[in-house]
Formats: sequence, C-alpha cells, structure tokens
Amino acid sequence: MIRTVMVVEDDDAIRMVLRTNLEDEGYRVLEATTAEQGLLIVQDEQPDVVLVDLRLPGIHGLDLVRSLRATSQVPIIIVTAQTDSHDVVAGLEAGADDYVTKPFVAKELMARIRTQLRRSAQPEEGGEDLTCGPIELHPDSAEVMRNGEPVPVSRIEFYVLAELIGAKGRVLSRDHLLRKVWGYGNAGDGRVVDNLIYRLRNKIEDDPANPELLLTVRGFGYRMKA
Amino acid sequence: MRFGLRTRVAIAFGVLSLVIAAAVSIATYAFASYYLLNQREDAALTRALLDSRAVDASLAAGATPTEALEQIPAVGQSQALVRVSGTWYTAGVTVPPDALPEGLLDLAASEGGAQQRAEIGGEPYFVVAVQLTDAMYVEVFSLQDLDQTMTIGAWVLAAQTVAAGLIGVLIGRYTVGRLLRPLRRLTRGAQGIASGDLSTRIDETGDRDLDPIAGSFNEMAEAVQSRVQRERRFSANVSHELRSPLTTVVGTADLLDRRRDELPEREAGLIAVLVEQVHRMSQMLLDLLEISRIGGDDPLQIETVDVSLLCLDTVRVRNLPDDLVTGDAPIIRTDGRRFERIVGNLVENAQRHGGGVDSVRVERLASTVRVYVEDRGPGIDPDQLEKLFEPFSRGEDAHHTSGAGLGLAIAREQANLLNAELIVDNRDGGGARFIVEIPVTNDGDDL
Repeated sequence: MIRTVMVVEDDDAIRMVLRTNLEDEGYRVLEATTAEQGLLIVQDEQPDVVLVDLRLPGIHGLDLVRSLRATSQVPIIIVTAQTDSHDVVAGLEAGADDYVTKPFVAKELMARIRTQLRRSAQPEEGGEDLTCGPIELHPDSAEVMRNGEPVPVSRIEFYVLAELIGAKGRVLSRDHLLRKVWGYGNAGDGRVVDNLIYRLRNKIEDDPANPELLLTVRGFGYRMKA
Repeated sequence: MRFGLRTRVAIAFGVLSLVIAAAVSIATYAFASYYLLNQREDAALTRALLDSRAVDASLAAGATPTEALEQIPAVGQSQALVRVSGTWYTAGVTVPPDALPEGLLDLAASEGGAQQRAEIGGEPYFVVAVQLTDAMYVEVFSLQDLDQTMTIGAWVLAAQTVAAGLIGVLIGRYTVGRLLRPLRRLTRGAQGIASGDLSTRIDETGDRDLDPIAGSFNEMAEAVQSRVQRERRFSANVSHELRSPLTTVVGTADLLDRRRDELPEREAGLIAVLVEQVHRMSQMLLDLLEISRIGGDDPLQIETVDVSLLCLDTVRVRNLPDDLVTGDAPIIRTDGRRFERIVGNLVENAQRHGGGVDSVRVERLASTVRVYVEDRGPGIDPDQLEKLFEPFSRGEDAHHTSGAGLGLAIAREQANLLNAELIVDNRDGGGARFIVEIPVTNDGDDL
C-alpha cells in the first residue's frame, strides 16, 4: 500500500531534496508551497503524514498546524530552521506530533515518518483492552473511551496512553517514551513528550490543571494512576 | 603602603577632632586657671586686709606683735608676719622673712599696700603686704592645692582630647561607610552587567549628587544591552538563513551518496569526499551557530534532574556500557537539556581525543554536584589545560580526528549559563579528568 506524504515548504531546493528522499523510500509525495495550498490538498487527498515548515509566506506554519489539528488526527511533523525553544514549543503546543530541525539528516527524518506511519497503520493486533479508571483503550480499533464516550486521539497519543496504562502505575521516563513511541534511537527532546501529555490531559482529565489520572513524577517522567 | 579610602578618611577625621578637642582643652585650661587664681587672690586679699586691720588695732592697744598675730583667727593655709621697727615677728612656722620678695615690701611701704604671686622655696604662694601705722603686715597664702587641682584638670582635659580623637576616627569610618553605600549599589549594578544580566539598572533615588552617576550607568547598560540584542538578532537571522541552504547541500550530498553504486568509480570517490566534507562543514557551522547563540533568547528550562540517570542516558545514546557511570544519584534543579549537552560533549571529547571514556563518576557535595569524566589517554600538557576550552583547540592530533573542535567550548559556555564550573586536570594514574560542578538548585519552575 502506497503511503502519501504531504510536504508544505516554500524553499524549492529543500522541497526537491525532501521529495527525492521520500520517493526513494517509496512514498507518494504531495507538495504545497503555502499553508493555504496545504489545507486544500489535505481536504482533497487525505495524506498519511504532513511535513510542515514553520516560516511560510502568508499564513504561518503554526496556524496551519492548528487548522489541521482542529479537523484531523493526521500525524504532523514540523521541519524547521528555527531552533529556539519557544518556536519548537509553540509548534508542539499547536498540535504537532514531532519536530526535526534543519539541516535534518534524511535517515533520521525518514525514521520519524516511518514511526508516525507505522503507529497509525497497525494498532497492536489482538492486544487486550486496557482500562484505567474511566478510561478504556481498544487496541483493535485504536479507540479511546472515557466513561463510555469515544475520545478523539491521534495515533501517537493512543500509543503513549497505551504504554502508560500498560505499565500499570510504574513511572515511565520521557526518554523511555521517546524511544518506545516515537522511535528515537538517540536522545530526543523531552518537550515532545511533555506537550503530548498536556494534550492528553485535556482529553481525559476532568480538570487538566490538576490531573488525577495522568500524573507527573518530578525528575523522572509520567505514570498512570494504578 | 597605601591606605584605603575608609582608613584615610577615618584618620583625617581623627586628626581633625584631635586638633579641635586640643584647642578647646587648652582654652578651657587657660580660662579655668585664670578664673580660679583670680578668685583665690581676691579672697586672699580681702582676708589679708581684714587681718591687717585687726593686727593694727591690737598693736595700737599696746599688744606685742606676737600677741597681735595670735589674735588673728587661723583660717586656711595662710601665714602671717609683722615687722615692727625692723624686726620680724611671726606666729608659728612661716616662710623665712628674708625669702619674701623685696620689691613688694618697698612698694607696700610707699603705696600703703601691695600684692604679688611668688615662688618661695619652690612652692607657689600669693603674698599680700600692708603698711600699718607703725608696722608692716605680710600675709602669705599657699597656692599649692590650686596647683594640684589644675594639674588634675589638665590630665582630664588631655584624656578627653585623646578620646575625642578616637571618636573622630570612628565617626570617620561610619561616615565613609554611609557615603559609600550608594557607591555599593553602583558596584552591584556593575557586577550584574559583568555577570551577564544586561537588564541590570540602578534606581535613581532623587539624590542630586548620585543620580547623574546612576543615570550614566543606566545609559551605558542600555547601550550595551541593545547592542548585544542586535548582535543576537543578527546571529539568529544568520542561523536561520544558513540552515536552509545547508539543508539542501547536505540533503543533496546524501542523495548522491546513496546513488554512488550507479556512478563510475572516479565520480563515486569524489562524491565520498564531498559527502564527508559537507558533513564536517555542516557540523562545524551548527556548532558555531550554537556557541554564538548560547545565552541568547533561548531561556533556561529548569526542571528536576536525576544526575545519575542523565549520565546513564548520555553514555547509552553513544553506545557505551552502563557500568561506566558510578557514584551517587543526586537530584538537582537545572536545565536538563543543557546539562546533558555538557556531559555529552565531555564524553564525546574523551572518545575522540582521550583514548575513550574510563568512567563518568557522580559525586554529591554539600550544595553542589560534581560529575567527573575521566579518559584513558595520555593526559594533557599542563600548559594546554586552559586552552582546551578555546574554540578550535584540539591539541596535536587535530588532523587525525573528526569534530569541529568546538565541543569543549560549547560545554564551557553552557556550564557558565547553568552557574556550573567546568575544569580539567590530569589524573594521578594518567589520563585527563574533566569536572563539572553544578549547584543543586537553580531557580525556576516545574517539570
């Protein structure tokens, strides 16, 4: 099955490098040079993963991420030359699942994309249902229920939740989650995890500011209430 | 030796108050002795006149000179003498009559009476002579007691003068302290700037003498800050603008590299060289960009960090065995990513230039934590120790190893930002030892 990757990038040369790399890996590539174009293509073509440059002419990449996230759970990876913390954090807060800084190592970017696609393609088959308080996970359908109501989650959110509930109250470090869920081979950025946890809390907690299910263990990582 | 400002001002105050106190003391002494002496002399004179009249009356009534003298009431320390027809009569022991000042008696004979201060037998006296009808009456008053009083007074005044000098020194010290207090604010401001907090300003307190200084200082700080900010913006733009073409160049080189098998052998060899150098240049540029931006707009992300775990992660991601990490497992508050960067750079440095990592040891101290990264190399020439942290310093093996030579410089800069110390020395058993010493707490918020 051929997977589709959309690249939203205004720099022609970088787009060419991305396209060639992606095509070498066997993906179908959709290109957009502006956020507006990107939004239209997503509606028409439903790509499997979206790569977004932050500094785009016209609508900013951050706003594109926000718009995409509002209507879809498609995995979004930010590809940015802006390396300041606040740019990265803003991108993650807007709803991106991961980020890569320019100049990226093609192999690493491909691994990031594979992680996002694998996770969204195959939920752990035949896995047992996982529950924690009012939260139920159905690995077969990759659905999350809260008090019997379905909660919309991205695939990466689903797998973080599955890891945490599967740990049965044990603490999982951010590095552990980065390796397990995001597939990082070397040190990743813990803020990717922090932001995803933040998003998850907004979806599953009664009061996200005072979490009762998804707890922070200072200095170590996160755990689910057993 | 040159004294400090405080000491000099204190001494000046001391000398000044000593001089003033001495002048006042001398005036006091002069006035007191003049006044007391005068009072005493007036009293003595009155007494002598009364006594002389009594003696005159007794003599007129036919008493002998001795009897006449004995009638005088014995009050105080005075001694009376009377000369009748050239012969001196006294009552009890007195000063010898020939010791009396001669001019005084002549003056009294011609004027009817005279008085004089005189020293007789080494002691101070006040002598009054009165010409009676047929005789010369002389009364001698000792001033010895007054002399003693004045001596004691002089000592007391001298002591006061010395005390005043000492108090002057103390006041001087205190005054300088007070005067320098605003200067200390200025010093603190300068220290703030020096330690990198360019937003440091000095409050203007409405003091006419000090505000101009504070104002100038603030203007200078403003200029420095805006200049640094301009440079940072420039650096950020350079960084951003360089990254895009760098991405293309590295990406294209990698794509070519992957197609090497499809190319003739000569071209494939050239591509290999190109790819290697492009990566080297890219890494160098990234390091340069990083070092130029350390301490820039990127704020610290303070979190709770398990130092032992962080060191473990650091060696793991570089495919080194866990058992390299030994020692304590302290929890500290710092920017974990930056701290990881420091330890990581030290580990990479040991791998590249130090014959491999021998150990990463964590040691908890009272208010700091130390991480020792020890290598298996030959150690470092003592002259070169400090130069290691300069950019592009790689010792003599520069041509044989990879890396841009910025790793240690970056580690040092990051350490400064975390209030940590980064030093290097040689171990006793050979090999170099890098030590990061980081405070346990750094202000900030949660994980």
